[in-house]
Amino acid sequence: MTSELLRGIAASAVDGITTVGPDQVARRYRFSVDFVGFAGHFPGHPVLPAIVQLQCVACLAGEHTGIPLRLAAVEDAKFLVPIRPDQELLVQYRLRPGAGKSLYDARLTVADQIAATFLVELVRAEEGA
Amino acid sequence: MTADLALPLPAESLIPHRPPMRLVDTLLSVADGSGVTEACPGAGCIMADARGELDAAALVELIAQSYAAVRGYDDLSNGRPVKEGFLVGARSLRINGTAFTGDRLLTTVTTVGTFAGFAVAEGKVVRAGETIAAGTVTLWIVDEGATAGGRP
Repeated sequence: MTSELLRGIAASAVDGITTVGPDQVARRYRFSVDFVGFAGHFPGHPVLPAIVQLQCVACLAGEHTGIPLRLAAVEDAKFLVPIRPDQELLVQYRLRPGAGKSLYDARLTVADQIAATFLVELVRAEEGA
Repeated sequence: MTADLALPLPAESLIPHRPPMRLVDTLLSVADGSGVTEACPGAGCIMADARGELDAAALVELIAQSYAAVRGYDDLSNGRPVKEGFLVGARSLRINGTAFTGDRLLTTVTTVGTFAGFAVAEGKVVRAGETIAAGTVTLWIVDEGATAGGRP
């Protein structure tokens, strides 16, 4: 069984996975105020943790491929806008070919505003780190 | 005015994070913009699976919280309210090891530079003498409305 945080992410998906192009996948999420990642982050003014945003892509890619994936590297990440409870978040990624790596070029938007962009490497979850 | 704050200190006095998202337990040492923290994730950690293995992204959070603790200590030591901040970037951060509940994780962070309200730091997480994650994070330090115990 995965962590409580990852289960909370999966449960926050609003709809199914959309394939918007070759190797391009999208899904909407909405994290309620009760989402476990908001607890203590921070008291009185919840902000979606950056690592939850990173994990959204790993979870989405894992579900799309049917292969559990984990984060192996963050090549470049920018978290531009705080994401609050009940905001609808569109998570999109495009698989970017790389030398022996699975690189995911991701963009997260809230109300058509870019909230985060990042390039991450994902590997199979059971791969020895 | 500087205050002599004896280390180690509980991280909760230095950062705004609270359980269950707070991972860092203690600030062990600080010197010249660098510091070392300790984290001992317990069995109830929300970022651990049924086997006790931590999500890989938890190691990223450890680096960010550790730097926040170092900055919080610097604020308090210099008589300033602890400022809030947010993780706004990460770069060249590799996760090449795993951590588990019950582990003692030591995170070392070093200030690379500060500019226009932003701070860049390099961090690494060590488990049993082995570096399991390392990379660079950028935090935005909020200069207005300083909050007690605040940090990203």
